[in-house]
Amino acid sequence: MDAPTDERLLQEYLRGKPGSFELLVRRHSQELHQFVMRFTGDSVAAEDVVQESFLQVHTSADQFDPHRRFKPWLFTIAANKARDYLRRRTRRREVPADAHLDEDGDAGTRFVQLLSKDDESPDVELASEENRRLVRDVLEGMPEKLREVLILAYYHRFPYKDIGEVVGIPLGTVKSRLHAAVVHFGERYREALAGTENVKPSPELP
Amino acid sequence: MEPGKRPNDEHLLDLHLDRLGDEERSWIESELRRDRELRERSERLGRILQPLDHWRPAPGPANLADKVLSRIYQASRQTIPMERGRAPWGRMRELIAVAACLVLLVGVAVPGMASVRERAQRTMCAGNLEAIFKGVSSYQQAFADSLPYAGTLAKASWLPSADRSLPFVSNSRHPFLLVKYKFGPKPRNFQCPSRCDGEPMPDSQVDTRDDFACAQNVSYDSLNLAGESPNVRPPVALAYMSDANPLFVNARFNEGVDPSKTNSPAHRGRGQTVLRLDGSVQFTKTPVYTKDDNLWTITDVKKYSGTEAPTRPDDAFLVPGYPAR
Repeated sequence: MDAPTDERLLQEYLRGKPGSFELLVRRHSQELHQFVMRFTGDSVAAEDVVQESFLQVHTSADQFDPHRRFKPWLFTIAANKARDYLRRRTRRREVPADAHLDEDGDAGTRFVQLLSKDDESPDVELASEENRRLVRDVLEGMPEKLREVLILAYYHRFPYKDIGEVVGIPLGTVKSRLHAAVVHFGERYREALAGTENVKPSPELP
Repeated sequence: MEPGKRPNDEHLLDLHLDRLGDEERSWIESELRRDRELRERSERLGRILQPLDHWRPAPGPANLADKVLSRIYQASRQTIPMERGRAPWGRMRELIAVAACLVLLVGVAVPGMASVRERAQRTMCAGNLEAIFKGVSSYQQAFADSLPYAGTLAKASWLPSADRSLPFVSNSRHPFLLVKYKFGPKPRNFQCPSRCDGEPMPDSQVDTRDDFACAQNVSYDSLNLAGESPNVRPPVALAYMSDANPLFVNARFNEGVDPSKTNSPAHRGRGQTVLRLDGSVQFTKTPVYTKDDNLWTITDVKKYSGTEAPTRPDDAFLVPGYPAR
C-alpha cells in the first residue's frame, strides 16, 4: 500500500487521527534540519528552528490550504524562522560588500560570462575536510537570498515553483536568482581556493 | 524540440540539477555530443557545482523527531488544545464549560489565595526541571546517550551516615556536570521555590568545583547512578529528578516514613514535581509513579545504608546529594 501523502496525513491529524502528526515529523525532521543547518551554519539553531517550525505547523494546521502542498509550507515556516535567527545574530555580516546585488539578487557577473571564462579553477588539491569547510564558508558568506535558493535547488531538488513559494518570489525571479547564486558561488569558491579572497573564517566550529 | 534550436545556459543548469523531463534531457545530451563548445560549457558548470557536494552537514540528532514531539506535547499541555476539527456546537459546549470553570474559579479563588502562591511555585519548579531536561538532552547528544555521569567508585556510599570505612560519592556530582560544563541550566534552576532553606550556588564557584558547594544549593534529588550504567536511550518515561525524597532527610535514612504514602517535604507535602527522561514534567500527588515503582525506593528494598543501587534500568530511585563543604 502506498504511503499516505503529507497532505493526507495533515488532514487526518486535523480530524484527530492519532499518529498522523508524528509520521509527518518523522518523515521531514531530518531533511528540514539539513536545510536549516546549511542555511544558518549552526547546528544548535537548526535543532531549535526545526522544533519551532513543527510547533507552528501544529498550532496553525487548521489554517493550511488543502489545495497546496505541505512540504513547501513547512519549509517556508522554517526559512522564515531561520531568517529571523540570522537577523538576531547581528555579529555576523550578512552581505559581503563586494556582492554587487541588484533588487532581484542578480550578481555583477553574468552566467554566460562565468561559463565562458577560459581560466580554470586554481589547481589546488584540498583534503576533503578542508574542502568541506571551504564550501561551507563560501556558502555562509553568500547573501542570504542567494544562499537559500541555491540550497533548496541543489541540495533539496525543490522544483522552481516550490522554491518561489518558500522564498516568496515569482518563478522568473527564482531562475534568475538561482543563476546569480551559481555565479556567486563559483566565483567566491574559485577566489577562496586561490587564497586571494577574504573568505570568512568559520564562525562556529573550532 | 525545434530544429536548429540550441540549448542555453538555463537548460544546462536544469540538466545538472536533474530537473529535466526525459525528452528534453535526451535532446540536450544529443546536442552535447554534437557541439563541442556546448559540451565545454556544460563541463565548466559541472566543475562549478561539484564542490557543493562536499558540504554534507552531520545529520540531526537521532532523537530529533522525539524531541520535536516532546516539545509539542509539552506546549499542548500548557496552551494548545490537541483536539481539532470540532463542530460549532462543540465550541458552544466549550463556552459553557469555560463559563462553569469561571464560576468555580471565583468560588475557589476567594478562600484560596494561599494556593495561588503555591501554584506559582509549582509552575516555577516545573520551569526549573524543564531547563534541567534541556541540559540533560544536550548532554546525551554530546555523550552518546549517557546521562550526566561524573563516575563513582566500587563499593562507595551515596549516604554520608553510612559505614565510615566506605568512600562517599555524592549523587549530586552527576547533575552538577550540567552546570559546570554549561549545558544550559543555571545554579538557580536547582532551587525549588517552595523551599525556604535553600540558596543558589554562586556562579563564581561553578568553574572551580566538581559538585555543588553545599546541600542547600540543590533542592532536587536525582536518579541514583551508583548502578551499572548511566546510558539511557531517550525517550523513556523513567523519572530522573524530583523534589526531595522524604526518606533521606538530614542525611539519614528515616525508617519510620512510609514511602508509598509520603510526598516530598517541598510544596507543603502535597506532592512533588517530577522530571522524566521523555521530557515530561508533572506535579504528582503520590510517589508511586507506576503501578510497581516508587520514586523514593528501589523495588523490594526496605532499608537503606547508602550502598544500594537500582538493578533494573527502569527502576526509578531518586536520592539526594550531599556535597562536601
